[in-house]
Amino acid sequence: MGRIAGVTAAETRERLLRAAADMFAERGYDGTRVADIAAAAGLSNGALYAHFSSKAELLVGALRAHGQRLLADLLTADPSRSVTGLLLMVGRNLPRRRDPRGYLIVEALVAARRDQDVARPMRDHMGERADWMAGLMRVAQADGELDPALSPDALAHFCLLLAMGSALITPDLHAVGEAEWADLLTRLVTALRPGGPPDTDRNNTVKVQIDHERCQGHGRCYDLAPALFGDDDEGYGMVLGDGTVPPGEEHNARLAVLNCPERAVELLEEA
Amino acid sequence: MAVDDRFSEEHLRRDEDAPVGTRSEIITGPVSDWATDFSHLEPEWAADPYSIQEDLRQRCPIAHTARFGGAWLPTRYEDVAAIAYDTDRFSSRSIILSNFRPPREFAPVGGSPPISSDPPFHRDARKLLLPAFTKSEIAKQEPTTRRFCHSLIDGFGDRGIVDAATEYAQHIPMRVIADMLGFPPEDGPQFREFVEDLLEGINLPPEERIERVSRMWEYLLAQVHDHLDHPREDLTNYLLNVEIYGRKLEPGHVVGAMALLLIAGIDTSWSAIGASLWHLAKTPDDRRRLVAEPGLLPTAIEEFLRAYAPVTMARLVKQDMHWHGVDMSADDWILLSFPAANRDPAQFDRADEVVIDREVNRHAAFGLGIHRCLGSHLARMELRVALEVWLERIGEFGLVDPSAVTWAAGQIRGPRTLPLRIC
Repeated sequence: MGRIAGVTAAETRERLLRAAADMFAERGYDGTRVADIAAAAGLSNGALYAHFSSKAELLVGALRAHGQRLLADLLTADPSRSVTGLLLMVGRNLPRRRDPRGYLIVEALVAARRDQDVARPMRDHMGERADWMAGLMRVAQADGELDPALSPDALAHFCLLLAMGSALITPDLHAVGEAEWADLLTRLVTALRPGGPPDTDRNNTVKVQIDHERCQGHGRCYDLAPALFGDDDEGYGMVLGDGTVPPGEEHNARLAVLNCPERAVELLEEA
Repeated sequence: MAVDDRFSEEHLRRDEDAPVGTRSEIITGPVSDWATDFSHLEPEWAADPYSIQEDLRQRCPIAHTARFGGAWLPTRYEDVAAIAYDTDRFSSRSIILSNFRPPREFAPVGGSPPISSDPPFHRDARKLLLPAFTKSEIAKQEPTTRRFCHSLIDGFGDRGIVDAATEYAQHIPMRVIADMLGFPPEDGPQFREFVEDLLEGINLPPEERIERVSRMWEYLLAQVHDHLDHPREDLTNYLLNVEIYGRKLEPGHVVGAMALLLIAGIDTSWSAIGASLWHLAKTPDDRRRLVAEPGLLPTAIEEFLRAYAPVTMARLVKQDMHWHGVDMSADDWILLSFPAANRDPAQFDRADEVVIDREVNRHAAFGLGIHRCLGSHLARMELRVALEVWLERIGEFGLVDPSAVTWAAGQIRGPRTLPLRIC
């Protein structure tokens, strides 16, 4: 009973975690019964307990398997990207609405407040995430992207708070302009550079750049920021001059970055 | 100079040994479950594909149908993008989903290069056309387009009710592309038939479908011969003379590219202009705001393109594979819905709302990857000029009867009848 012919234990486990992720995200921890998860996965209660010993274990397991891990996904997809670049990308995404499963973390945090069975594995899970993040910060420090004088643990904690906060304050509750938010994050990352916050009087140039492997000639950059971009004779985007963004063009430069459908336009800061 | 005999009867005769495609059974009628039996040709889809897509996105993000010999419908942005970028596993050799699959030997050229082409041929075929469709090249068409839009509105006379789809939107791209190809402007009504035959006649019996498609082919051949006899400066002439790999194009390439420019250039912009006017007719706040703030129009246009993206493409799966949780078979169709991607809440805030001042709008209305719509700069120009002229001339307008508006089924969606009160 409960075993479907030709299905491995790992597949069954995976099916259970998927069902658990969807159900907990939708109904919360208290509102979900183990029997419902078993039924949604097409298994009996008994068969479920062969894989998971408690509801708490299912919750944290579902979170590990299906919680939002944008940073880890992006890092896997492109390990050569700079850490601060990745953090900025993820940071820009934070105020957006998530998939339903992106709110699984909220249900897990609430449950951890009330239920010791959940609190313990959640503490481990958060600890692992923070450690992983701190490791990333150390890489960024070694690469000269972040000031080595800062504590990697504190940096990791800060990122974790931002991520958790964004899961709690959804865009329905309070929204922020995408371009304004991106500005703030860019400023923040700049301030975390080696050597401390830059002296604003010093010439800190911002440049635009086009990744020609990605550009397909949609033309959003030269539509939105014609002072910074032009097109070649086949319609592909070109950076005008050396790409330095003059005062007053920062907003258009950011719009070009944020509206490129191929994500081919980038903003670089040079000290 | 040698006579160009590429288009003589003798050369165009069908090669008896050429590989043939496969036909699948035609299945029509009401859809039982959109997750397992979808059809973009049924009236429910034409009336409101968005709620169907939203439902699928939540319960079955890659839907399937046994119709058309087997097809998949991804509804999440990330899946649509992944397929658009993955030319190794998904072929463009037919981009109109139908009951006929062209033979695999059709790749990498396909019937209407470059939209039907795969790498590496695609790049070279596309390169031939790109220079004619850059923003600055297209800007040359703007003054005549603007004058033409005014003349259409002049033609309304003092009538209080007009059909904005058939009396305005439809004519603008027809006239522009006919001018660019050097076809007689009075042939417009035929173009509309070609568009309907090709894009909406998917479930007609094979003989009838072949008959209709060959009507367009014959029209285009007649245009070719007219251009060979009377050369002039236009895109047809360019296609007849341009070279690829050191020689002139194959006759099928010339006529296929002409068909592409004609069909893709008409239905798409017509739909975008119509859908934008429909939105403004039923949303007085947005209409008033655009009349008062014309500078907002470019931003609003991008939002109309996102929310009412007219174009869905198709791909063919190259080999059996497990892909993003489903088991695809070789030669399964993919209905590549950019409109669905554009309404994915994981990618866009307030995805199901039309926010005319949306500043950040990374929509995929013109596709993603190597097949980015060749005519996107043309489409944007036509849409902007059509709306600028309409709003300048007719600031106050509304729907006569919301239920009288009809929408095209199939891969290109836009209003086909749009009665508006314009007094």
